[in-house]
Amino acid sequence: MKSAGVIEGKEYEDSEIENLLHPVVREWFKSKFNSFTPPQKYAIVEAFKGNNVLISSPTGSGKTLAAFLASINMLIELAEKNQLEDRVYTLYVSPLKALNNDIRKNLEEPLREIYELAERKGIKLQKIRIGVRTGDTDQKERQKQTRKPPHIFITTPETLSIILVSPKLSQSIRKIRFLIVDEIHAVAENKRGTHLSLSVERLQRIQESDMVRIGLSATISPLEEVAKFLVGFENGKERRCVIADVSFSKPIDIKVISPVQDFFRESSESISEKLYQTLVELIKSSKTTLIFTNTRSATERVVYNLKKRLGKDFPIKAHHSSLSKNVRLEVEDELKNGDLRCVVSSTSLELGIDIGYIDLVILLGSPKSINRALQRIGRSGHRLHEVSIGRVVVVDHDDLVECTVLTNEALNRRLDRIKIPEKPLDVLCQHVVGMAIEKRWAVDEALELIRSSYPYRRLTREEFLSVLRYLAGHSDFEKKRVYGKIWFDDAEGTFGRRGKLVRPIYYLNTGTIPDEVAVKVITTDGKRVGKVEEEFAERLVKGDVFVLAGRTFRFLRSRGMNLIVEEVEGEKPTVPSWFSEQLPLSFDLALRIQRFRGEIDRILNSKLLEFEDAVFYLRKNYNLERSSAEAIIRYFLEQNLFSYIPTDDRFVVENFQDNGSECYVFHSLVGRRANSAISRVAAWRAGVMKNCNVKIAINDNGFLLKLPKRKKLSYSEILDLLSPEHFRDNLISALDRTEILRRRFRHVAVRSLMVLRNYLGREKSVWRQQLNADSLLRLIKKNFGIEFPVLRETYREIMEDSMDLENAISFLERLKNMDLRIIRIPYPSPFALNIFVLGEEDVVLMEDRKKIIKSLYEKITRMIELREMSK
Amino acid sequence: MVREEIEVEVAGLKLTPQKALIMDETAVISDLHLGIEQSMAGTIPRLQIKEIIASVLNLVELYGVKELVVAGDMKNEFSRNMPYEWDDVEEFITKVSETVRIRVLRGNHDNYLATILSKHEIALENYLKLGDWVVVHGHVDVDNLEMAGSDTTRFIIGHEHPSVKVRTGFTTYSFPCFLRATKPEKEVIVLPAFSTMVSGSDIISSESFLSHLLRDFDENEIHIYAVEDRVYYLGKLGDLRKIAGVLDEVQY
Repeated sequence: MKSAGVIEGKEYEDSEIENLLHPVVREWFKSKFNSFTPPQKYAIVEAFKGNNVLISSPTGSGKTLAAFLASINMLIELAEKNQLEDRVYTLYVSPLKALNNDIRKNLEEPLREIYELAERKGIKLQKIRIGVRTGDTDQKERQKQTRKPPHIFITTPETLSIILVSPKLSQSIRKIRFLIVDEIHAVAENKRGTHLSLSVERLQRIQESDMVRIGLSATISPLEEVAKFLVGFENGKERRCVIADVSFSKPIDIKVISPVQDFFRESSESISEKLYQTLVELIKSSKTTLIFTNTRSATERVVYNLKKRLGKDFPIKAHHSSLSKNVRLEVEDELKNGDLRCVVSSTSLELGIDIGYIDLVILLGSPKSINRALQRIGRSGHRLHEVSIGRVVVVDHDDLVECTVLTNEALNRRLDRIKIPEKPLDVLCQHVVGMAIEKRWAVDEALELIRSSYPYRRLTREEFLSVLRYLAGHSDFEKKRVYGKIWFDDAEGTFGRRGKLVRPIYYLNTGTIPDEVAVKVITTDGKRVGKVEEEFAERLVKGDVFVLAGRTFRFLRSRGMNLIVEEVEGEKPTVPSWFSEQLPLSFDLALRIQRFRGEIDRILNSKLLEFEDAVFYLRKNYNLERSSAEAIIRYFLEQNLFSYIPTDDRFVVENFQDNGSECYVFHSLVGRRANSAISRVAAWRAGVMKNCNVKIAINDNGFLLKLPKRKKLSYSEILDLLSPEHFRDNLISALDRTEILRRRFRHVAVRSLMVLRNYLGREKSVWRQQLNADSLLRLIKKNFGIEFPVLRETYREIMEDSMDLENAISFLERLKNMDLRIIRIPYPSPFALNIFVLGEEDVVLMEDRKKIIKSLYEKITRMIELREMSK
Repeated sequence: MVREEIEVEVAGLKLTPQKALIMDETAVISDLHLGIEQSMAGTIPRLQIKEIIASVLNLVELYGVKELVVAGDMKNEFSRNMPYEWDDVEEFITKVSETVRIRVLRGNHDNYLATILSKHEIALENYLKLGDWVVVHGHVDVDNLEMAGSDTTRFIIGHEHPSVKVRTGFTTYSFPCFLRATKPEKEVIVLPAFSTMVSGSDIISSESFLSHLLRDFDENEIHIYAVEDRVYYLGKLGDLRKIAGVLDEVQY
């Protein structure tokens, strides 16, 4: 995907860089460092030349200075000549609020040293101001910044979009020399990144001189696409960008560790015991260990269990996003000061917060993506030339297979490709309102600006007009157009702001992260046990059993905004906790696991090889311990005995009965996101064929459809379930009345400013409590059709971002050339076991509301009759 | 062909699947919340007015209604009249009064409704009598209403937005319902919200009712009539609570 605009960078000599520096800056640098680091060698000269540059490199490689040195040098030169004006020269944007203060400190220190050096040399310098502005910045500081704009301005994507419409401050950002966008890898794949990319193009529009864009990213692929995302387009042509790819300069050492010999032959207690024993040994043998789990609840559980074994005085702590900011800062400080021996984190320590010296990173369970594995392991051995050491401790058989492949891929530096969301209309709505506040626009002028943002390069004029019409409230019965946030003259092709309230609405509602409103959970004797998300609480009905903080509770009744519960130990939860949002396996990694299965299958089916040979092969090629290699081979042998091994060219469907229900396990192995799309369509089609509800369980390796008694699927029916024809339409039908549709619709409605989460100081979640989401969806569909921007984006987000429609369809296309095996077995095969024990996750409904109320009616009637009879 | 009974007769009153109560030629509906699109959190597009008018007209035709009583919360916003509400209330009255006489009772959301109604010479009443029943919205203690002949023991109210929430598998359903609370000295019928946009309040899991009129009833004195394609009698609240909201698998 190389293109004219993206250029591979080159490494410059130290002397070439030094020659560009102001003498004081040069002297300061030489007194501090021996040489420039690789990212600095690639990036600094380009920045001086005024070229856009994307730097991809690991943490601890001097990235910050690589991005800022040209900027510092420029400011020092101006300061010496007494030419510093009261405006912003360098704008730094990072998605991590927590990082902003660190960056300030990291800049203040060199500046102080440079000033001291200058003073010793008798050089007088104007003062260079650095300012941080986020949602947390207080009024006084904000006013100060407006009066005397900082020369280096540090902010977040959300605050940037607000500054753009601020009447005064926006005047100070019209001649920016350097725009630095940090942690691009953390936003490119989500709507925060889309939002930022539009803000950057709006910023570009008001520039009166050349603005250089510098992007910083951790390991990510494909870099060309991320570069285009950073720089966008100008007059329909890609802007130029130099790529400084130094991501692989840091050596790594990764190994898979299996805590037990054979997961099938040990009880879960003993697996858990051995797992913690393994962790304890690893922690004791290193100075500071960072453990990554994948979920917040697992983080707490691991800390609790490790403390039990290491003693309560052992310095170990948890760090995750549900902890309060103060607690997190405290943990980070203790880490930096070397006071902790171990920290357990979910994802919160993945990103670039400076965490000091870590000599071992443990990944507990698969991190589900190669990029994430590298990012996490890169947190150890902070300095550039130190080896990063990572140990992947696996928790079951599938995890062992997955991590074996993942480790191998990571060592070979084969990354998974990211996917940038395509033209989300909800984010666009926010920006159109923002743009309208700035000035009056001609449609074509606005469309060109929007298309210069990479995610919107393919936005059609019709799509844009539909957004304008929606925002302006053009609809049949919108006589007064009171809900319009903009005015739009369709005939003249112009639009602009409407009313005075639009500005505060924009200020309070900009951003893409959905609100999480918490509901308190209280026991009957008044004890608080924790909080659940409001959306989760809404789904509960009396009698439901759910898990919270590792304990099981039954929902009894609600009191105001609180849930009253009783603890019920050992009862099976009736509500899945899919709000815990497990990380999905990347599609690329899934394909590599498919291939791995094929590889092992061929070895096992080659008559010449013995068990020992296969073990040897694995140990040699996948760097495995003997016990792990044996466990994998045994796992595959058992599957082979019982059923077939699904591979990259053999698709296996297994059918068995569970309490009479017909279960079908599809070993698709395309990652959870694509599986989610395929399974829902298959379930919907099965429901139509058999006129029944179909339950679904999905994981990364495949999915299960559960049909009622005697609802058997024939070979040709199974083929029909997997046809790529009409896939998208069927998926839309399958989403009807599902929780995911309601949930995503709410988020999109808020993001599109259809519902305001914050309106004139009102409480955020009021509308949720009072409006019926199903009715709202139904009425919108009825009145405006499915092309209404808010609905359209809801479906797009579900199908493309939450699920993976594209890869689902391409897999089904490929399936036509695969060997399809449908096998009937007495109970789940070893490979199917993890999918089976998941339990149902969702259900695709064929029956209507009538059936539900009828069956409740019959149940009640029976109960009353029985009582009458017993009298 | 015998027409399947879709309504239920209770104490001489007809409860219909259109979420209305019918007595002779009078229909009572409640909680329309017109203009709700504008007062929630900013403003969403107008969505419900056409459907509401259509279902009222359908109801009028089906049951030969001559008089329509709106038992409170005709509109949504407490504090003032929003532009949507003007439009919606106007449109509602204009279209509906062509075929039927409208009477409107005051609800807790109706503080400024009188201004709109007076243009159409409709009074905003606190209560009205229907046979030996008194219709009120239910938010005010009846003792505070100056009622002629205060010996009334039978009430028809709205205000609660009662609904039955059940789940089968992992999907939650909410059905609006009528309630009939009855004991020797008092009887109250609660109407479901006529608006489909307001979310109902689940009577199975919520601890108490809003209206003081319902507070001295035991859960075994409250009967439930859920609304879908027809009206389903679901027995006493006490029984329903025992079954809880988790419905076993629906059999086919």
